[in-house]
Amino acid sequence: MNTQSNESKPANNRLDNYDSVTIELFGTARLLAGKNKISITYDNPTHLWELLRKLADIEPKLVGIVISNDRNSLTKSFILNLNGDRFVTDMNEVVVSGDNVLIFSSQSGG
Amino acid sequence: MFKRKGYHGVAMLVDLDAGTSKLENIPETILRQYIGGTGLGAYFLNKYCKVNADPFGPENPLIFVTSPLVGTKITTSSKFAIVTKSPLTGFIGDSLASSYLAVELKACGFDALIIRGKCDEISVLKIEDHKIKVIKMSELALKDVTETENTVKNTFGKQYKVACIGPAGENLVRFASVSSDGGRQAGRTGVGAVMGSKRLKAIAVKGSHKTEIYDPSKLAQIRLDLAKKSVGTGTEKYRTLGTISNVSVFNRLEILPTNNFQFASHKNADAISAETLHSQNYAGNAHCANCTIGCQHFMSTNDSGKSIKGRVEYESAFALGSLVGISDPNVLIRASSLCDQLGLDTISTGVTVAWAIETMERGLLSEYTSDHTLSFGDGESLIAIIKCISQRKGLGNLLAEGTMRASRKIGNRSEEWAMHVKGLEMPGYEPRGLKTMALALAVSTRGACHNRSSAYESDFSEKVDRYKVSEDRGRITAQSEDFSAILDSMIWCKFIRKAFNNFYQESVEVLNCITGWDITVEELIKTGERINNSKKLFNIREGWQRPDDILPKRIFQDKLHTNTNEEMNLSEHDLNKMIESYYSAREWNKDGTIPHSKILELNLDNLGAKVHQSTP
Repeated sequence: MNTQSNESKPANNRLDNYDSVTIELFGTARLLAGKNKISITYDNPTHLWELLRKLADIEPKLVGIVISNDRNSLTKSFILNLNGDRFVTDMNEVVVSGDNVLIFSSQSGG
Repeated sequence: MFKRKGYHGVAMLVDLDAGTSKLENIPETILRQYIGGTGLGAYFLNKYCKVNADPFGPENPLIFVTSPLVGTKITTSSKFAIVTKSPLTGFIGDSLASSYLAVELKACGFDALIIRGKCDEISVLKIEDHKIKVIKMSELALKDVTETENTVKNTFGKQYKVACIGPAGENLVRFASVSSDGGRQAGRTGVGAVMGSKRLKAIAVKGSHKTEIYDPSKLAQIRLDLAKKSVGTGTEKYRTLGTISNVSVFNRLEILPTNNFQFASHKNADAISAETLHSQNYAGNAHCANCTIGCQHFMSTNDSGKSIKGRVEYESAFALGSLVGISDPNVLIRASSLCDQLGLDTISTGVTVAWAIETMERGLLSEYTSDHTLSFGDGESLIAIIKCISQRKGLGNLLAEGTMRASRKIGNRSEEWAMHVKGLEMPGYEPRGLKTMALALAVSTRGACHNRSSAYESDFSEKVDRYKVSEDRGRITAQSEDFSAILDSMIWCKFIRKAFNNFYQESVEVLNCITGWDITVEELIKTGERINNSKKLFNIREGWQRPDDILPKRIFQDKLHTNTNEEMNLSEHDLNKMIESYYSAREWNKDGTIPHSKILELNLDNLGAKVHQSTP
C-alpha cells in the first residue's frame, strides 16, 4: 500500500497502477490533518480498518481524537460514510478503487 | 401546602391589562405528567388559550416555563421554554433558550410565568420573587436587543436578568424572536411577535428562592459524572467547531439547501464552513449558564467595514448563507448578528428572503423592484432587506408576514416555492435526501421543525437508506419526537444527548433524585408520548386538518440531481405512505386525529374533551 497526499486531485482519480481510495476529512479531523483529502493507494483489496491504520500512520494527530487508540476504528465522536451515500460501522467492509471515504462528526444536527 | 422537591408548585399569572398577578397552584399530577419546559407549557397553553384566539390578541398567553432541573446546576439544564399560539402557524408555538434568565426565573419562586393581556404602551414587566410591576418605558421603543437589555439592567440593577424583543417584535414581524443574556435567542415560531403584540418590550427578573433537591448528595455525584461525560466523545463537534460544522458535511452529502431549495449543494460552501470561519474569523467561545460543553463560537468580521462579532450557528449559516446564495463569511456574520440585534429568527428570515429573491427573479414582485433589487449572492441587498423586514418597510412589510402569507398574497403559483410547513419556514435539511427527516418536517406540530424530533439521526446511520422511503419511518419518527419531548421538558440541552449511555434510564435517575418521585423508564417514555399528543390536541382544537401535514410543493415537483447525476426526489404519494405509518405508530385515526381511547390512555381527557374526533 502506498500513500500520497492528493488535495487537489479529483476524488475518483486512479494513481498509476495502484488502486486508490480518497479519504475526505471534515471538521476537527480536517483541522488536525490540515488538509481536506488524503489519497491512499494500494494493490490489494483493503478493509476499512486497514485504511484507518494507514491513515493513522500518515496523520498521527488523528489518533485518540478521530481514530481510536487501537487504530482499527473511529472514536465515538466520528462516523464514516462511503461515497456520500452510505453510513458504515463495520470496519471489516472492503473498499474498492475509486471509493471516497468520508469521516465527520457523529453528532448530527444542530 | 405540600411542595414537591425540584418545583415551587405554582404558576405566576400576570394580567397586563390590570397590571396585577396571582399565584395558582399546579397539581402534582400535572407536574409529573408534563415535567416542565415545552411539556408543561403545552398543558398551560391548552388550559389558558381560548379556542381560536387571535395570536396577537390579549387572550393569547405568553408562557415562560422552567423545569425541575433548573437551579440544580446540573450541566446544560439552565433552560427555559416560551410557549404560545404561533402567529406564523396558528398552532402551538414553542421555543427554547439557554441562559441565566432560566435560573433567575426559577429563583423567583414559580415554575411558570403566564402573561396575558396587553400593555397600554411599551412596558417592562419587572419581577422580584412574587412581586410584579408593569412599568412603562417608552424610551425603549424600537431599540435593539443589546440596548434594551443594557437599559433595563441599568435602570433596575445588574442583578436582574432580562428577556426582551427588538424592533421586529414591536412591529409584529411574525417570526420575531425573544433575546436574553446578551443575545441567546428563543427564535422559532414568532414568540417575540406575541410579546410585541402585548407591547411588552422586556421582562426583568430577580429571585431569592432556591430549588430544593430530594437527594442532594446523590445529585452532586450525578452532576459530576455528567459534567465529565459532557466533555467526552459525545459532544466533540459542539465544543470544537459548533453546529456550523454541518455546512461542509451537508454540502458533501448534498443535503445543504441552496438558492431556495433549488439545489442541494452550494459551490462556495467551503467559504462559509466552520473550518474556514474558525481559521479566519474565530473570536472566542462561551458557555451558557451551568454548561460544561461551551458550544457558542463567536466570529468576527475581517473586512473593511465596521467590525461585528457574533454567533453563527448552522441554521443561520444555511438560511443566510447557502439558501440565499451567500458565500462571503463577512456578509453571513453581519446578517446573522443583525437578525439577532433586531430580534428576528434567522431561519425564517433567510427562507422568506430566499422566496422573495426567486419570486423577484421570476418577475412577480415588480411593484417592489423600484425600491428593492434582490438576487442570490447579493450581500448588500440581503442586509438591506433584513432591516426593512424589521421595520415593515416596503417589501419588508410583505416579508414580515412570513413565507406562507407572502406567497398567498402574491399568488401566481409562488406558493409552490414557498418553503414552509404549516407556516413555519424550513430548517436546513434537504428532505429529498433525508427521508426520515422529510416525514418529521411534515408532521411536526410546530411546522417545519428540526428540533422537536431528532429524526435526521436515523438518516445519518445504517438503520435506514436516507434516499428511500420505508414503512418503519413512522415508528422511528414518533419515537424520536417522544425522546425530544423529554429532552425539551426536563429540559436538557440537545447537545448533551449523546453523552448519555442510556438516556431514559439516566434521566429517570436525575428526575427522581431531584423530586423524590419513583418514575420508571416506561412512565417517562409514556410522558413523551403524552406531551406530543397534548400538542396535537391543541392543533386539532385550532383547526388542524390532515392536509396540513404536508411538505412544500417544490419538494414533490422538482427533482434534484446529485453531483454524480443521480436523481434525488420525493413523491407526495411516498410521503403520504410514511405519514400513514406515522399515524399508525402513534395509534391515531387514519385522518390523523386522536381516538378517544388514546386520549384516555394518556390522561388527556381534561384537554381533549372538545377535540377528539371519530373513532376508527
